Amino acid sequence: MNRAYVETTILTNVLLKPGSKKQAAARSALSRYEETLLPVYSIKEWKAGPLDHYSYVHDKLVETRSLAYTLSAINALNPVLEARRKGTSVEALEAAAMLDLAEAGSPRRDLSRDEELADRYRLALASLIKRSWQKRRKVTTETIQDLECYTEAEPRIGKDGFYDLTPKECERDRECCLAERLKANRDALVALRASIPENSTRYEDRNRRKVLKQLINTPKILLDRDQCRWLGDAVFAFFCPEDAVILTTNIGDHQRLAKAVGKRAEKP
Amino acid sequence: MTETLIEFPKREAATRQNVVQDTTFRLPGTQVGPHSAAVKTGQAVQGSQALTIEIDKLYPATEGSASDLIRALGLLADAIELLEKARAAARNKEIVTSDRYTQRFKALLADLFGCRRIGDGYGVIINSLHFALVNQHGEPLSFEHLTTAWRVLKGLRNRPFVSFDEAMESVGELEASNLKVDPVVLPELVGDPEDE
Repeated sequence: MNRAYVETTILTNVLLKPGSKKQAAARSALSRYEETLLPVYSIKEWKAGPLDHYSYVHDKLVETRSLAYTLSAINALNPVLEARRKGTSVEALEAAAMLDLAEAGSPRRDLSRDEELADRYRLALASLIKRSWQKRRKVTTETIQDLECYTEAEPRIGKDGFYDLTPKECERDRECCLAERLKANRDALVALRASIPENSTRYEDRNRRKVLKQLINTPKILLDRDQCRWLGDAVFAFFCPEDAVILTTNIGDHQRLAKAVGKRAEKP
Repeated sequence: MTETLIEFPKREAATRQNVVQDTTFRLPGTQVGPHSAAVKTGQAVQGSQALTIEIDKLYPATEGSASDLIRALGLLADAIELLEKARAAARNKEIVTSDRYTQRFKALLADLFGCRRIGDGYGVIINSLHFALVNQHGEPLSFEHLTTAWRVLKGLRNRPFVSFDEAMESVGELEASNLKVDPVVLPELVGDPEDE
């Protein structure tokens, strides 16, 4: 039986990229396997990462009531990203909403149009966030490896109109529930650490190596929730069942880690 | 315990009955039928749960009324009527006629969205229908699409103050009928940094 262990990027593409090629590719990849397994760790990463980012944009639309200001705010977050996505302008989003352009040109009309577009995309985002959460456990044939220290709480919209995604992290006042199983397999931890380039300048690589080192050398120190998050991709390589492959779009990082512990990663 | 259908309560005083006039008119798409409710004898029933009052009686369209709700109720009635006709045509395999009614329905959606101050539940249903039609790229709606949209709008007209969470059920129904309710540009708008 062929089985896929579904990583966060696949979950994101299926749930948050409706009608896109990425969604189609992810769905098609899932259909290749007889069994698809979704670890709750994927749900946790998805909620704290991509879903949180979607809710940030939603909240920015609530705050500014303007699509133009919201786009400026998002682009200011990351100028490099802005250069890459020049195609995403107010005009492009207006065109995508297929609104009647008969009265274009009037400043007053432009103001109300901006507000209308902001409302349209705000409602669309609010709806997608809510529905994607409801579908999260239906993406795969099975959801596995529940996390005792993590509560899967549904995102909710507060009276102020902003999304509340808490809790996005595990409980702070206890050791990570994965710690015991991680510490029980020192060899795998050593192999995983060795697969991460020692001289890597990437923030995530340095943090991952640091946490793995602590688990290997000083297992008595409690593994906290931040360290669990820093382990990130290594968690998938470690906990992927022996007879399954890690399904991810981030094949570079996952392949290297999976190979270190005798497992495989595949992309859609 | 037996259930008994009772009529909508009438005022006892005969003089009052003569004075009270029905000042409203019923628009297409409103739930019709007797003002009745199931009442379990010998058991207290909350008034709001027991009696169904037509939306047009709750919010009568008086002359000169300009509120979003009154406007939306009229537009929704028109939309439901158009979808009914589109459904009838689609059932008879008259695809062009059906699509003509759908086009007229589509033209109402912008005005319906203009009434979104009614609430986000209302707004998200109208917005989902708008993007569902955008994503059709001009392709006519199927009988199933039309039936779902018609049913959802009838529900919305009877409960325009639907909450956002409850509205998700209606959006889910539209999605289940294979309508694509999300704008395809959302990922571009959000520009997820992790995706780059």
